[in-house]
Amino acid sequence: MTALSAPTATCPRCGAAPASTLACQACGALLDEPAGATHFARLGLPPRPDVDLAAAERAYLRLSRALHPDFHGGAGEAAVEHANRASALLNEAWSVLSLPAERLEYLLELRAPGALEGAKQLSPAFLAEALELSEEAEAAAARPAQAAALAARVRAEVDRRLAAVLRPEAWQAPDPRALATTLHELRVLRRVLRDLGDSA
Amino acid sequence: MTAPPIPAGPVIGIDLGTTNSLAAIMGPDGPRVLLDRDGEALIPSVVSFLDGGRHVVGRQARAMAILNPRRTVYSVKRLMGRSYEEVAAERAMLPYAIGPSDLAKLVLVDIDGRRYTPQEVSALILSEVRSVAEAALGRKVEKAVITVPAYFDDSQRQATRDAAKIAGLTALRIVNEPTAAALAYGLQTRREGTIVVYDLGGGTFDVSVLKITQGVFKVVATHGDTHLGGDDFDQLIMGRILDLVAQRTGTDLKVHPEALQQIRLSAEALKCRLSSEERSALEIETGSGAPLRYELTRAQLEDLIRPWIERTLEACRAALADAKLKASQVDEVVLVGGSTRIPLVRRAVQELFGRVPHCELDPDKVVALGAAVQADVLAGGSRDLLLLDVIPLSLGIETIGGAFAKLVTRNSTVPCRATEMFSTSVDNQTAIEINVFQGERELVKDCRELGRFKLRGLPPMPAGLPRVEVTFLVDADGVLTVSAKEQRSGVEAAIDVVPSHGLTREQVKGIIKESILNAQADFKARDLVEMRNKAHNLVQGTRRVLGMQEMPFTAEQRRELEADIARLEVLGRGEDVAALKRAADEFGSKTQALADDVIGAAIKAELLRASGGLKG
Repeated sequence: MTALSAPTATCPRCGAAPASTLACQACGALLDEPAGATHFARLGLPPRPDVDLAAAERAYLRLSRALHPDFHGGAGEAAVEHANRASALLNEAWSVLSLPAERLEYLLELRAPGALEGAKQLSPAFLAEALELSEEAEAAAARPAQAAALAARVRAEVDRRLAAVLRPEAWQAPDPRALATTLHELRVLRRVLRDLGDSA
Repeated sequence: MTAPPIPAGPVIGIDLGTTNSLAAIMGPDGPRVLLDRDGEALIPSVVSFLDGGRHVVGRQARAMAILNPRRTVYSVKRLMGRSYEEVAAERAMLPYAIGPSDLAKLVLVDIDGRRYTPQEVSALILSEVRSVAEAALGRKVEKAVITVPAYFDDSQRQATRDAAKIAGLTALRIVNEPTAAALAYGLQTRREGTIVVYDLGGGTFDVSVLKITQGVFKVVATHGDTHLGGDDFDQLIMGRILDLVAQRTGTDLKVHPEALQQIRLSAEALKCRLSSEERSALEIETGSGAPLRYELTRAQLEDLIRPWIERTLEACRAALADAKLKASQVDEVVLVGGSTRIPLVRRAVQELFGRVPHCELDPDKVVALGAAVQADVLAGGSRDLLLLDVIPLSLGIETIGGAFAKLVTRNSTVPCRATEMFSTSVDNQTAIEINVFQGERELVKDCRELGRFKLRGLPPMPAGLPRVEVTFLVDADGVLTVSAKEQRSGVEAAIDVVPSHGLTREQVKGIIKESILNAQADFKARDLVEMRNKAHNLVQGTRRVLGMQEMPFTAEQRRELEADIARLEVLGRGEDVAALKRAADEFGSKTQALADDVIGAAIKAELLRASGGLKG
């Protein structure tokens, strides 16, 4: 897997080294993003599987205040446009990184481009288990109590798998295939959860 | 961090309502509504077109509804951003004519053959709101935050923005009405929570469930009835009164529009009194004999309207079900709209949610006050509040077989963006057409078409080779813009937007130009009225002086003045402002000299009398 370095630049307005590629935390200037900026770099976070969500959220809201077009109305149309574009990128970054499964898929794509799509083959044992869950979910559709119990079971399964791949140690293996497989399994399980009406 | 420059001039909040509109602004003690010369905040959202290309807006226009029904436009908000087909059902309820447009799927208002877009009519209302605000503030107003219902889609929001533009206002932000109501109550200080906004106005009912998560407002569900409101309650009372009159006198007042209008106003006033009194009565002139007395108790009114209130509660339950919430999980309930003053409404809402709803602020003004809170943020006054809204409906494009491919899912925080790669299917193809839709269904035929985006100017290449990256950007108001770039050549594609239900930029520009010309015609009309008044006053004043016995006018002076008066009266009946002005000015300076003489004579007489008195 390739190593990632956060794109660094200096703020053209105040010269400080910005933590985010979108705005300078020192002077509030909107920045022109360097090519290859990642969602992690946008939020000023290290590209790791485990993210301190509370800290990330603080960064998101702080950057939202710096970037939101509401606060750039006086600086002309071009600034509002820049602010709209930058805010859209920030919102996208937050919506991806704040959800563990999406964050991990995104990180894997950064570390090993194509690995996720290349590992779609799931074990027959898992597929059998998933099929059974889907059928159970369908049968439980009209029975809320049963559906809730099943959702809790699937959720526990999702959490167990997530916990395993959220650990940085899981990302030290040179071959990304195991990670990719787990992330695919998570997709399947989350779809079952969605069908059960559990949006979380 | 240093703040970016602050926009010059005041930024006001505007509630552009179906029934009434009004403006508010942030002051040192919080937001306050802006009042007109008569001390009124509410401007009826009514435009009445008069002879000679003139029009009136607001209370004056509402008063014209009976006399000038086919040229008096109300509820135009129902037509904003809609096609003729979509609003055809409204036609029976509107006394003015509407028709389809040749240009887009756009409904037009038809006044004596002159066609107006709903944007233009709304612009007339916004202009009125703007001039009330300018008079109240003593400053020019060019920027505003305007509220729209949470369920308004891209075309309806865009139409609102275009209306503002035509009225000479920049809509710095389009805010959802329930969100504004929550802001008016300062509920943004809550970091987490569920808020229900119950909005029962004159003609529409909306209920919205808002969720604040990590300081972000999301409208998670909205329900309602676009034809349920206080007007229905007035109709119920009116029906009772008409029955009484028919029964006692045998007269059917339904055939007398003026009498009906009078009774409607009395019924409305009676309804309002019953919000604070247990019983109230009104007297009806029947034209023969003593007036009829009609008494109604609050309990009787409640029995009349109960089925309607029950329908609003049904909508609340449906909204909760959509939001997957129980009534007990709601943290705050906010009441909006004049009809929430009715005690039964408050009791019913309180009972459903098991908590006392917020009604400390005037329910007719809550939305405008909230808009002013956001306006203050945009004016650079407050940076404490960051209002993050979401896109109400998913946005996507048509793919093979009429399938709908979602690019931005509903409830994504705005601004947001999506990119999509396109290519060509024919050699040397230089243009691509993309159809954009909004909705939640699987097929585009079940979604609403927003517009066609035509990318032009692609470099000619073999089929399938161009890689055109199209970026869809939804801005902070939920309004879409599209840009495209061919990745191999780096060529930026030109984009022609054909909105399905709205106006192109050129059309908006055209309307603005036309309305400036119209404004000049308006000015002329106003000048003429003012000049006529001035001439009339001059004539009256001079007649009074001529009538005074003690005035020492020569016969010649008298003849000259009579001739001048006659000339002024003839000009006053004409349309030539310039001639009237000249004549009035001349007459004014002549009579000014006369007035000096009159005053001089009066003083002289007074002095004589005084000195005589001293002597005597």
